Amino acid sequence: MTNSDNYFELFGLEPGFELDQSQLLSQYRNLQKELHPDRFVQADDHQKLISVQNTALVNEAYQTLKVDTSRAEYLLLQAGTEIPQDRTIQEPEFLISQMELRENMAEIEGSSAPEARLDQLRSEVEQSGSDIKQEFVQHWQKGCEAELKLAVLCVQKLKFYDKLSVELDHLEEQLF
Amino acid sequence: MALLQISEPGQPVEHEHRIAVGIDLGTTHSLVAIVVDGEPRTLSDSEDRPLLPSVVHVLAEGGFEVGYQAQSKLISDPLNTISSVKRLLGKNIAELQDQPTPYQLSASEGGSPLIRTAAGDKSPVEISAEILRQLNIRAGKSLGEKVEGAVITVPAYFDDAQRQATKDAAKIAGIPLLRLLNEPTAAAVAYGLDQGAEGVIAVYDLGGGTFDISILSLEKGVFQVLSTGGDSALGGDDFDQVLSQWILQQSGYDKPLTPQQSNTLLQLSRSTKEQISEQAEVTIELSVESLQWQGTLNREQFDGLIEPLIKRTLRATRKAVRDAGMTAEQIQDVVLVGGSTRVPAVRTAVEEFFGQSPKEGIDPDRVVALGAAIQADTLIGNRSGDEMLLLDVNPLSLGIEIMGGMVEKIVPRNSTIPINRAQEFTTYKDGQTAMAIHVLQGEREMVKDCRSLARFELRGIPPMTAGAAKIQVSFKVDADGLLSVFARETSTSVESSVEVKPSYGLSENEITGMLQDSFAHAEADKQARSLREVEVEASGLLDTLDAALKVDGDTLLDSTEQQTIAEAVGALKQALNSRDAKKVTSAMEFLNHQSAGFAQKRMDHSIRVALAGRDLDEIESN
Repeated sequence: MTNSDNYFELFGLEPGFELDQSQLLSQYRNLQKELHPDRFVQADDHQKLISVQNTALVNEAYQTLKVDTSRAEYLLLQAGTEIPQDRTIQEPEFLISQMELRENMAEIEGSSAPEARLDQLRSEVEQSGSDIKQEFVQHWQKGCEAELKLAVLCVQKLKFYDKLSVELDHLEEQLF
Repeated sequence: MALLQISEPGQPVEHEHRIAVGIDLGTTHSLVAIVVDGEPRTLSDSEDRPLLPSVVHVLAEGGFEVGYQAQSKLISDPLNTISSVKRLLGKNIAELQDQPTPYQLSASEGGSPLIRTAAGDKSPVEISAEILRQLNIRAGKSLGEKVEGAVITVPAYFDDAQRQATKDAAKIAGIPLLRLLNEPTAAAVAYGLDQGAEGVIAVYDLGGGTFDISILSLEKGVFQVLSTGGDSALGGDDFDQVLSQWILQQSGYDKPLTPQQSNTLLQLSRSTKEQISEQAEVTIELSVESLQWQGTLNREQFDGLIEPLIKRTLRATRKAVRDAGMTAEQIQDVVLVGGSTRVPAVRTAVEEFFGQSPKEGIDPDRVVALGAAIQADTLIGNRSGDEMLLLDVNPLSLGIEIMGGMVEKIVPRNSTIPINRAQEFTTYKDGQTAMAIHVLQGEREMVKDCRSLARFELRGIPPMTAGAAKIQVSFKVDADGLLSVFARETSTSVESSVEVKPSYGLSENEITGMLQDSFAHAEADKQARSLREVEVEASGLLDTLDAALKVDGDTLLDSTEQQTIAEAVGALKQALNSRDAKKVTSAMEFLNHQSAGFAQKRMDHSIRVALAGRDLDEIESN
């Protein structure tokens, strides 16, 4: 497929972190209406195969752009920067704040008002996440090598917060 | 057909209406439905009953009885009468150890359970195939025509093995399967199209043996599943079980039960459950052999017994709502599916959870089959005019085993399918030339807590230092939710690859054997039919291509390309005169091959059009 090398182009969107989710969704649906295997049930195997491949690509692209962290990662990838998979963050302040959040999380279970504390912690995590996203945009827009490195750091931090929200979800499931 | 559907979804070539059915293969009941004049309806048996009990009686002299006939044998011939076989479908024998069944089970070559009967060992796939065959016969009789395609529904929470087993059952029953469809999605289709709903809906599906919850968004004919969850071993049958336990406890009977006793008790529990859902108190009279008890059960007592089970469904519901990125308040409509949602305590619990009363209108027993019929009708090409499309997800994460007995997830659950995902791994020893790959499904972190789907070895990796080889493992999940896995070494020019289709324990040989059994008597028929089928297919292809060439031939193809296709068209026409199925098939393949480039060009063209966000009709009429 001709547009496969750029996910933004595939959906007719301007590359950038800020993105119109409703346009992404409606373009995604338009593409699926044309390409989905359900449209090719009566077709020959070759066309079925093309359809599955195209649809899988569109699904992958949609998923990547829909989620903030993976969209940020994709923007960096497009700028020629890769996110190291196993690099740890060497920033004491950040690590301490992570530790505090985790301690808070561990205390929820035995506390007198677990629901309220969980909600509070969740909103803290969300706030910190959105601060980092703003920071990311600033670094990414400047685009020089040093700035992109800082943008990579933002994505790594975002991954920490994503993980924390998943763990909060698990905790909530256990508690209620 | 495809060339046409790519660019003119609104205007199909004139072709006759084709028969495609929707089948709900349920734990306790099964149904078949079809769309007539745009309206889905279920097909009934000669006594006007739409439900077919999912019960199969295996006859010692060979052959089967299915449905009501079989149901009446549950007590007189319990070991040869199989009910709720869906609970065994796609499972391996080890998984069934803590799930009580009244049958004598043994393991097949591949480790799947076989049920010992008077006519030999039967696999759950064969038993399910008998139910499907019965429904197919019913459809053929009431329509007076052969069924050309079917959509069969499965619980959204079915794993790869259970889906594969369902697909194999269709194959053995001789039913051309168009698609496996998730039950809650089918229900949403029936509701959505019936009531013209838009927005986010929740489908709470509590059947006989499975619980499914799905959150979907409906917009402009696109049904997009946002999340799904549930429990593949929780349903109304469990209500019967807890009630049986309670009755037994009340009776004070402490000897092991005979098969007759336990079946009688279970049937009594089921009818008591049905009665208590309608009235406040029920009198129970149990008398089978030495097991005797009389007493009463009131609604409150019953609600207390099933409360833990209902709580389990709500836990899964809460999770699905969150996975969809929603809150309970944001759900516009709630749809109840499955006979077990008739239990008042279930309705109340769902109502409280969502803060609204569920939608009424379509019979919860039939809604799934009706939705499947609509999808079947669409897929076979009868309603290509409308824009309905289903975007479904894979219900469980897929991954492979890594060091330390851990699972690395490659395709996370709730990913829209079809999907391809690849991940790179490396060797951990110097000179390592082979790598074992263990494919798993499930949400837990440890291998032992996930479902093992397949194991294979990638061999022929060139010897290198540890960590230098690059092994790419790709997962492909198709539109039926079925997985295939592909592994190759990519760092050197030497490529070695293995493709594996996970199976559920029935070996390919076993399936072939069952197929031969079921087709043995129909071989001659089949050959005649296969010629007719390829003829129809070939003329369809010619029509489609002709129409496509008229629209886009001159704009997308140069004269050499047009010539190439014209020659292949000529060859196919000649082959059609020969009345030889093989010749027609190969000429058709050749034409498909020669026109593949054209198809791709049209597809690219249509993508550009879709990107422009405009309707094709609009563009072509400009």
